Amino acid sequence: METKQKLFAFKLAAKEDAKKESAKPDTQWKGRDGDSVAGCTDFRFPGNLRYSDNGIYC
Amino acid sequence: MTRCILIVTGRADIHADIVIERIASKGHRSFRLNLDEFPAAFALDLAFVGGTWRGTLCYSPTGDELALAEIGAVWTRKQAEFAFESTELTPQEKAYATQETQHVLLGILHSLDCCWMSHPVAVRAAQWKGEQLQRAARMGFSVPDSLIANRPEPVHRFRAAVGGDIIFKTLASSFLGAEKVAPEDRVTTGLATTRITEEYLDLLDSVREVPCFFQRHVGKHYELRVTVIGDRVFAAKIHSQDDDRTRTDYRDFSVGIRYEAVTLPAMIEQRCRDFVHSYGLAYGALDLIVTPDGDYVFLENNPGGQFLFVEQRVPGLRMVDAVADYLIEGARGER
Repeated sequence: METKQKLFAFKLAAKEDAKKESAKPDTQWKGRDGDSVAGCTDFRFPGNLRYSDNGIYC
Repeated sequence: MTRCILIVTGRADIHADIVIERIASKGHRSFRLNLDEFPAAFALDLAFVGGTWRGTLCYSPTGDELALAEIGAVWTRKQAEFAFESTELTPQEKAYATQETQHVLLGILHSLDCCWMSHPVAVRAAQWKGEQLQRAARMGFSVPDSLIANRPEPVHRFRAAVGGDIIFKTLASSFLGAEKVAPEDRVTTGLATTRITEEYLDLLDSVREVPCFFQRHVGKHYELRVTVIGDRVFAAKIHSQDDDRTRTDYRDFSVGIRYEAVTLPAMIEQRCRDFVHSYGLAYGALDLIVTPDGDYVFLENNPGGQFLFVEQRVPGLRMVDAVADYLIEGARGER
Protein backbone atom coordinates (compact mmCIF):
# COMPACT_ATOMS: atom_id res chain seq x y z
CA MET A 1 0.00 0.00 0.00
CA GLU A 2 1.36 3.42 -0.95
CA THR A 3 1.49 5.92 1.87
CA LYS A 4 2.91 9.38 2.32
CA GLN A 5 4.64 8.31 5.49
CA LYS A 6 8.36 7.83 5.33
CA LEU A 7 9.13 5.93 8.50
CA PHE A 8 9.23 2.15 8.71
CA ALA A 9 6.88 1.96 11.67
CA PHE A 10 4.26 4.00 9.85
CA LYS A 11 4.51 2.01 6.66
CA LEU A 12 4.20 -1.16 8.68
CA ALA A 13 1.20 0.24 10.56
CA ALA A 14 -0.42 1.22 7.27
CA LYS A 15 0.00 -2.29 5.95
CA GLU A 16 -1.35 -3.79 9.16
CA ASP A 17 -4.30 -1.38 9.16
CA ALA A 18 -5.08 -2.31 5.55
CA LYS A 19 -5.06 -5.98 6.47
CA LYS A 20 -7.42 -5.35 9.37
CA GLU A 21 -9.77 -3.28 7.25
CA SER A 22 -10.11 -6.12 4.83
CA ALA A 23 -10.58 -8.63 7.62
CA LYS A 24 -13.95 -10.12 8.42
CA PRO A 25 -15.96 -7.98 10.83
CA ASP A 26 -15.70 -10.51 13.61
CA THR A 27 -11.92 -10.37 13.52
CA GLN A 28 -11.72 -6.60 13.82
CA TRP A 29 -10.73 -5.04 17.10
CA LYS A 30 -13.38 -4.00 19.54
CA GLY A 31 -13.46 -3.58 23.27
CA ARG A 32 -14.93 -6.38 25.32
CA ASP A 33 -17.36 -5.85 28.17
CA GLY A 34 -15.61 -6.08 31.48
CA ASP A 35 -12.15 -5.40 30.15
CA SER A 36 -10.00 -2.61 31.45
CA VAL A 37 -8.65 -0.75 28.47
CA ALA A 38 -6.75 1.97 30.25
CA GLY A 39 -3.37 3.20 29.14
CA CYS A 40 -1.62 1.43 26.35
CA THR A 41 -3.77 -1.65 26.69
CA ASP A 42 -6.17 0.27 24.47
CA PHE A 43 -3.61 1.49 22.01
CA ARG A 44 -5.79 0.59 19.07
CA PHE A 45 -8.82 2.39 20.48
CA PRO A 46 -8.79 5.87 18.95
CA GLY A 47 -10.82 7.48 21.71
CA ASN A 48 -8.23 6.74 24.31
CA LEU A 49 -5.05 8.31 23.07
CA ARG A 50 -4.48 10.14 26.29
CA TYR A 51 -1.02 9.33 27.38
CA SER A 52 2.51 9.59 26.21
CA ASP A 53 3.80 6.68 28.20
CA ASN A 54 7.43 6.35 27.12
CA GLY A 55 7.18 2.64 27.59
CA ILE A 56 6.38 2.83 31.27
CA TYR A 57 2.82 1.63 31.40
CA CYS A 58 2.33 -1.13 28.86
CA MET B 1 -1.53 6.03 62.69
CA THR B 2 -2.17 5.84 58.94
CA ARG B 3 -1.38 8.98 57.06
CA CYS B 4 -2.91 9.93 53.72
CA ILE B 5 -2.11 8.17 50.44
CA LEU B 6 -1.46 10.55 47.56
CA ILE B 7 -2.34 9.14 44.15
CA VAL B 8 -0.82 10.99 41.21
CA THR B 9 -2.66 10.20 38.02
CA GLY B 10 -5.12 11.57 35.46
CA ARG B 11 -8.90 11.74 35.45
CA ALA B 12 -9.38 8.77 33.18
CA ASP B 13 -7.68 6.05 35.17
CA ILE B 14 -9.82 3.10 36.12
CA HIS B 15 -6.95 1.57 38.09
CA ALA B 16 -6.90 4.58 40.37
CA ASP B 17 -10.72 4.62 40.62
CA ILE B 18 -10.78 1.06 41.88
CA VAL B 19 -7.76 1.25 44.18
CA ILE B 20 -9.11 4.45 45.76
CA GLU B 21 -12.39 2.68 46.49
CA ARG B 22 -10.52 -0.26 47.95
CA ILE B 23 -8.39 1.97 50.16
CA ALA B 24 -11.56 3.69 51.42
CA SER B 25 -13.25 0.35 52.05
CA LYS B 26 -10.32 -0.57 54.26
CA GLY B 27 -10.89 2.60 56.27
CA HIS B 28 -8.06 4.73 54.96
CA ARG B 29 -7.83 8.07 53.23
CA SER B 30 -6.41 8.90 49.85
CA PHE B 31 -6.11 12.12 47.91
CA ARG B 32 -6.22 12.06 44.13
CA LEU B 33 -4.06 14.48 42.22
CA ASN B 34 -5.20 14.42 38.63
CA LEU B 35 -2.41 15.94 36.59
CA ASP B 36 -4.83 16.85 33.81
CA GLU B 37 -6.61 19.09 36.31
CA PHE B 38 -3.40 20.45 37.79
CA PRO B 39 -2.79 23.22 38.59
CA ALA B 40 -6.09 24.60 37.26
CA ALA B 41 -8.33 22.89 39.79
CA PHE B 42 -5.94 22.96 42.74
CA ALA B 43 -5.09 25.77 45.11
CA LEU B 44 -1.51 25.57 46.38
CA ASP B 45 -0.36 27.12 49.62
CA LEU B 46 3.12 25.78 50.22
CA ALA B 47 5.86 27.40 52.25
CA PHE B 48 9.43 26.44 53.06
CA VAL B 49 9.72 27.24 56.75
CA GLY B 50 11.97 25.82 59.42
CA GLY B 51 13.88 23.65 57.00
CA THR B 52 10.98 21.88 55.37
CA TRP B 53 8.07 22.32 53.01
CA ARG B 54 4.71 22.73 54.71
CA GLY B 55 1.30 23.66 53.46
CA THR B 56 -1.67 22.35 51.59
CA LEU B 57 -3.10 21.38 48.24
CA CYS B 58 -6.80 22.02 47.95
CA TYR B 59 -8.96 20.48 45.23
CA SER B 60 -11.19 23.43 44.45
CA PRO B 61 -14.27 21.61 43.09
CA THR B 62 -14.79 19.72 46.37
CA GLY B 63 -12.71 21.65 48.88
CA ASP B 64 -10.86 18.45 49.73
CA GLU B 65 -7.55 19.45 51.27
CA LEU B 66 -4.26 17.66 51.71
CA ALA B 67 -1.49 18.86 54.01
CA LEU B 68 1.99 17.82 52.90
CA ALA B 69 2.68 16.63 56.44
CA GLU B 70 -0.21 14.17 56.14
CA ILE B 71 1.26 12.27 53.20
CA GLY B 72 2.47 8.82 54.17
CA ALA B 73 2.57 7.15 50.78
CA VAL B 74 2.54 8.17 47.13
CA TRP B 75 1.35 6.09 44.20
CA THR B 76 2.81 7.56 41.01
CA ARG B 77 0.23 6.00 38.79
CA LYS B 78 -0.01 7.99 35.56
CA GLN B 79 1.35 10.90 33.65
CA ALA B 80 -0.99 13.42 32.04
CA GLU B 81 -0.70 16.84 30.51
CA PHE B 82 -1.21 19.75 32.87
CA ALA B 83 -4.32 21.92 32.65
CA PHE B 84 -4.38 25.66 33.08
CA GLU B 85 -7.34 27.86 33.87
CA SER B 86 -6.88 30.00 30.82
CA THR B 87 -7.47 28.23 27.55
CA GLU B 88 -6.02 31.16 25.69
CA LEU B 89 -2.38 30.99 26.74
CA THR B 90 0.00 31.77 23.93
CA PRO B 91 2.20 28.83 22.90
CA GLN B 92 5.14 30.35 24.73
CA GLU B 93 3.07 31.06 27.82
CA LYS B 94 1.88 27.46 27.79
CA ALA B 95 5.42 26.16 27.36
CA TYR B 96 6.58 28.23 30.30
CA ALA B 97 3.54 27.28 32.40
CA THR B 98 4.15 23.58 31.74
CA GLN B 99 7.84 23.73 32.58
CA GLU B 100 7.27 25.76 35.71
CA THR B 101 4.42 23.55 36.93
CA GLN B 102 6.43 20.41 36.39
CA HIS B 103 9.40 21.85 38.22
CA VAL B 104 7.28 22.93 41.20
CA LEU B 105 5.38 19.64 41.41
CA LEU B 106 8.45 17.42 41.16
CA GLY B 107 10.34 19.65 43.58
CA ILE B 108 7.63 19.19 46.19
CA LEU B 109 7.09 15.48 45.53
CA HIS B 110 10.79 14.74 45.71
CA SER B 111 10.91 16.51 49.07
CA LEU B 112 8.50 14.00 50.62
CA ASP B 113 9.98 11.46 52.98
CA CYS B 114 7.45 8.67 52.65
CA CYS B 115 6.62 5.34 51.04
CA TRP B 116 6.53 5.32 47.24
CA MET B 117 5.02 3.09 44.63
CA SER B 118 7.30 3.85 42.93
CA HIS B 119 9.69 6.78 43.33
CA PRO B 120 9.90 8.85 40.12
CA VAL B 121 13.68 8.49 40.05
CA ALA B 122 13.36 4.70 40.11
CA VAL B 123 10.63 4.71 37.46
CA ARG B 124 12.73 6.92 35.24
CA ALA B 125 15.77 4.68 35.60
CA ALA B 126 13.75 1.53 34.95
CA GLN B 127 11.97 2.52 31.77
CA TRP B 128 14.73 2.05 29.21
CA LYS B 129 14.12 -1.24 27.49
CA GLY B 130 17.58 -1.47 25.99
CA GLU B 131 19.07 -1.41 29.46
CA GLN B 132 16.44 -3.82 30.73
CA LEU B 133 17.62 -6.50 28.32
CA GLN B 134 21.18 -6.31 29.54
CA ARG B 135 20.13 -6.36 33.19
CA ALA B 136 17.76 -9.28 32.59
CA ALA B 137 20.50 -11.27 30.88
CA ARG B 138 22.90 -10.51 33.73
CA MET B 139 20.30 -11.77 36.19
CA GLY B 140 19.94 -15.08 34.40
CA PHE B 141 16.97 -14.62 32.09
CA SER B 142 17.11 -15.76 28.49
CA VAL B 143 16.86 -12.66 26.31
CA PRO B 144 16.20 -12.71 22.57
CA ASP B 145 18.95 -11.46 20.29
CA SER B 146 18.02 -7.89 19.46
CA LEU B 147 19.00 -5.20 17.01
CA ILE B 148 18.72 -1.44 16.86
CA ALA B 149 19.36 -0.02 13.42
CA ASN B 150 18.47 2.93 11.23
CA ARG B 151 19.64 1.42 7.97
CA PRO B 152 18.15 -1.61 6.18
CA GLU B 153 21.38 -3.53 5.71
CA PRO B 154 21.92 -4.46 9.37
CA VAL B 155 18.31 -5.59 9.59
CA HIS B 156 18.71 -7.94 6.63
CA ARG B 157 21.96 -9.27 8.12
CA PHE B 158 20.29 -9.73 11.50
CA ARG B 159 17.40 -11.59 9.95
CA ALA B 160 19.76 -13.88 8.09
CA ALA B 161 21.84 -14.44 11.22
CA VAL B 162 18.92 -15.47 13.40
CA GLY B 163 17.76 -17.78 10.64
CA GLY B 164 14.08 -16.98 10.82
CA ASP B 165 11.55 -14.26 11.32
CA ILE B 166 12.18 -11.24 13.45
CA ILE B 167 9.76 -8.95 15.22
CA PHE B 168 9.55 -5.18 15.26
CA LYS B 169 8.30 -3.34 18.30
CA THR B 170 8.17 0.25 19.38
CA LEU B 171 9.97 1.05 22.60
CA ALA B 172 8.51 4.37 23.68
CA SER B 173 4.88 4.20 22.64
CA SER B 174 2.66 1.89 20.67
CA PHE B 175 0.63 4.95 19.66
CA LEU B 176 3.29 6.08 17.17
CA GLY B 177 2.94 9.60 18.50
CA ALA B 178 -0.80 9.77 17.80
CA GLU B 179 -1.50 11.12 21.26
CA LYS B 180 0.78 14.08 20.57
CA VAL B 181 -0.94 15.41 17.46
CA ALA B 182 -4.38 16.77 16.66
CA PRO B 183 -6.94 14.17 15.55
CA GLU B 184 -6.94 15.55 12.02
CA ASP B 185 -3.17 15.00 11.82
CA ARG B 186 -3.28 11.34 12.88
CA VAL B 187 -2.41 8.90 10.15
CA THR B 188 -2.51 5.84 12.39
CA THR B 189 -3.43 5.14 15.99
CA GLY B 190 -0.75 2.60 16.75
CA LEU B 191 1.18 -0.51 15.96
CA ALA B 192 1.33 -3.77 17.85
CA THR B 193 4.48 -5.82 18.03
CA THR B 194 4.66 -7.20 14.51
CA ARG B 195 6.33 -10.28 13.09
CA ILE B 196 8.38 -9.34 10.05
CA THR B 197 7.50 -12.12 7.69
CA GLU B 198 8.30 -12.33 3.97
CA GLU B 199 5.40 -10.05 3.08
CA TYR B 200 6.99 -7.17 4.98
CA LEU B 201 10.53 -7.47 3.72
CA ASP B 202 10.08 -4.78 1.07
CA LEU B 203 9.27 -2.31 3.84
CA LEU B 204 12.67 -2.77 5.44
CA ASP B 205 14.13 -0.32 2.94
CA SER B 206 12.31 2.38 4.89
CA VAL B 207 14.36 1.63 8.01
CA ARG B 208 16.07 5.01 7.91
CA GLU B 209 16.48 8.03 10.12
CA VAL B 210 14.72 6.73 13.23
CA PRO B 211 16.36 3.85 15.10
CA CYS B 212 14.16 0.75 14.91
CA PHE B 213 14.12 -2.11 17.39
CA PHE B 214 14.03 -5.71 16.19
CA GLN B 215 14.25 -9.00 18.01
CA ARG B 216 14.62 -12.59 17.04
CA HIS B 217 11.15 -14.10 16.90
CA VAL B 218 10.82 -16.51 19.81
CA GLY B 219 8.49 -19.48 19.53
CA LYS B 220 5.92 -19.42 22.32
CA HIS B 221 4.25 -22.14 24.30
CA TYR B 222 2.47 -19.43 26.26
CA GLU B 223 3.18 -15.99 27.74
CA LEU B 224 3.40 -14.76 31.28
CA ARG B 225 2.42 -11.44 32.77
CA VAL B 226 4.25 -11.30 36.08
CA THR B 227 3.22 -8.44 38.34
CA VAL B 228 5.44 -7.65 41.29
CA ILE B 229 3.77 -5.61 44.03
CA GLY B 230 6.12 -5.00 46.92
CA ASP B 231 7.44 -8.48 47.69
CA ARG B 232 4.43 -10.25 46.26
CA VAL B 233 4.46 -11.83 42.82
CA PHE B 234 1.32 -12.46 40.75
CA ALA B 235 1.80 -14.57 37.66
CA ALA B 236 -0.77 -15.02 34.91
CA LYS B 237 -0.37 -17.58 32.16
CA ILE B 238 -1.68 -16.14 28.90
CA HIS B 239 -2.61 -18.63 26.21
CA SER B 240 -1.74 -16.21 23.46
CA GLN B 241 -1.12 -18.95 20.92
CA ASP B 242 -4.77 -20.01 20.94
CA ASP B 243 -5.73 -17.29 18.44
CA ASP B 244 -3.93 -15.87 15.42
CA ARG B 245 -4.68 -12.33 16.55
CA THR B 246 -2.73 -12.69 19.80
CA ARG B 247 0.15 -14.84 18.67
CA THR B 248 2.67 -12.02 18.28
CA ASP B 249 1.15 -9.41 20.63
CA TYR B 250 -1.39 -10.62 23.16
CA ARG B 251 -2.85 -7.14 23.68
CA ASP B 252 -5.79 -7.64 21.36
CA PHE B 253 -8.44 -7.51 24.03
CA SER B 254 -11.29 -8.29 21.69
CA VAL B 255 -10.05 -11.86 21.70
CA GLY B 256 -11.18 -14.12 24.48
CA ILE B 257 -7.98 -16.07 25.00
CA ARG B 258 -7.54 -17.96 28.25
CA TYR B 259 -5.73 -16.48 31.21
CA GLU B 260 -5.00 -18.45 34.36
CA ALA B 261 -3.08 -18.06 37.56
CA VAL B 262 0.18 -19.95 37.60
CA THR B 263 2.80 -20.69 40.19
CA LEU B 264 6.22 -19.87 38.86
CA PRO B 265 9.28 -21.94 39.61
CA ALA B 266 10.74 -20.42 42.76
CA MET B 267 13.90 -19.33 40.97
CA ILE B 268 11.97 -17.51 38.24
CA GLU B 269 9.68 -15.86 40.77
CA GLN B 270 12.64 -14.62 42.78
CA ARG B 271 14.37 -13.42 39.63
CA CYS B 272 11.32 -11.34 38.68
CA ARG B 273 11.17 -9.88 42.20
CA ASP B 274 14.89 -9.16 42.18
CA PHE B 275 14.68 -7.55 38.76
CA VAL B 276 12.01 -5.09 39.87
CA HIS B 277 13.68 -4.38 43.20
CA SER B 278 17.05 -3.85 41.53
CA TYR B 279 15.77 -0.47 40.34
CA GLY B 280 14.29 0.43 43.71
CA LEU B 281 10.81 -0.10 42.29
CA ALA B 282 7.91 -1.23 44.46
CA TYR B 283 5.99 -2.31 41.37
CA GLY B 284 6.71 -3.85 38.01
CA ALA B 285 4.81 -5.77 35.33
CA LEU B 286 7.03 -8.11 33.37
CA ASP B 287 6.26 -9.79 30.09
CA LEU B 288 7.87 -13.18 29.63
CA ILE B 289 7.61 -15.95 27.07
CA VAL B 290 7.72 -19.60 27.97
CA THR B 291 9.05 -21.48 24.97
CA PRO B 292 7.97 -24.96 23.90
CA ASP B 293 11.24 -26.14 25.51
CA GLY B 294 10.26 -24.58 28.83
CA ASP B 295 12.72 -21.71 28.67
CA TYR B 296 11.70 -18.44 30.37
CA VAL B 297 12.46 -15.54 28.03
CA PHE B 298 12.43 -11.94 29.22
CA LEU B 299 10.73 -9.40 26.97
CA GLU B 300 10.31 -6.28 29.09
CA ASN B 301 9.35 -4.76 32.41
CA ASN B 302 6.77 -2.00 32.67
CA PRO B 303 7.41 0.00 35.85
CA GLY B 304 3.84 1.31 35.87
CA GLY B 305 2.17 -1.47 33.91
CA GLN B 306 -1.52 -2.26 33.87
CA PHE B 307 -2.83 -5.02 36.10
CA LEU B 308 -6.63 -4.79 35.97
CA PHE B 309 -6.91 -6.57 32.64
CA VAL B 310 -5.27 -9.55 34.30
CA GLU B 311 -7.33 -9.47 37.51
CA GLN B 312 -10.53 -9.14 35.51
CA ARG B 313 -9.74 -12.42 33.79
CA VAL B 314 -8.18 -14.08 36.82
CA PRO B 315 -10.04 -12.75 39.87
CA GLY B 316 -7.95 -14.93 42.15
CA LEU B 317 -4.95 -12.70 41.45
CA ARG B 318 -5.97 -10.02 43.92
CA MET B 319 -3.68 -7.24 42.78
CA VAL B 320 -6.06 -4.38 43.59
CA ASP B 321 -5.94 -5.52 47.20
CA ALA B 322 -2.18 -5.93 47.05
CA VAL B 323 -1.65 -2.39 45.75
CA ALA B 324 -4.06 -0.94 48.32
CA ASP B 325 -2.44 -2.93 51.14
CA TYR B 326 1.05 -1.88 50.11
CA LEU B 327 0.09 1.78 50.10
CA ILE B 328 -1.78 1.50 53.42
CA GLU B 329 1.18 -0.24 55.05
CA GLY B 330 3.43 2.44 53.65
CA ALA B 331 1.20 5.18 54.99
CA ARG B 332 1.35 3.52 58.39
CA GLY B 333 5.13 3.73 58.28
CA GLU B 334 5.50 -0.03 57.96
CA ARG B 335 7.46 0.15 54.70
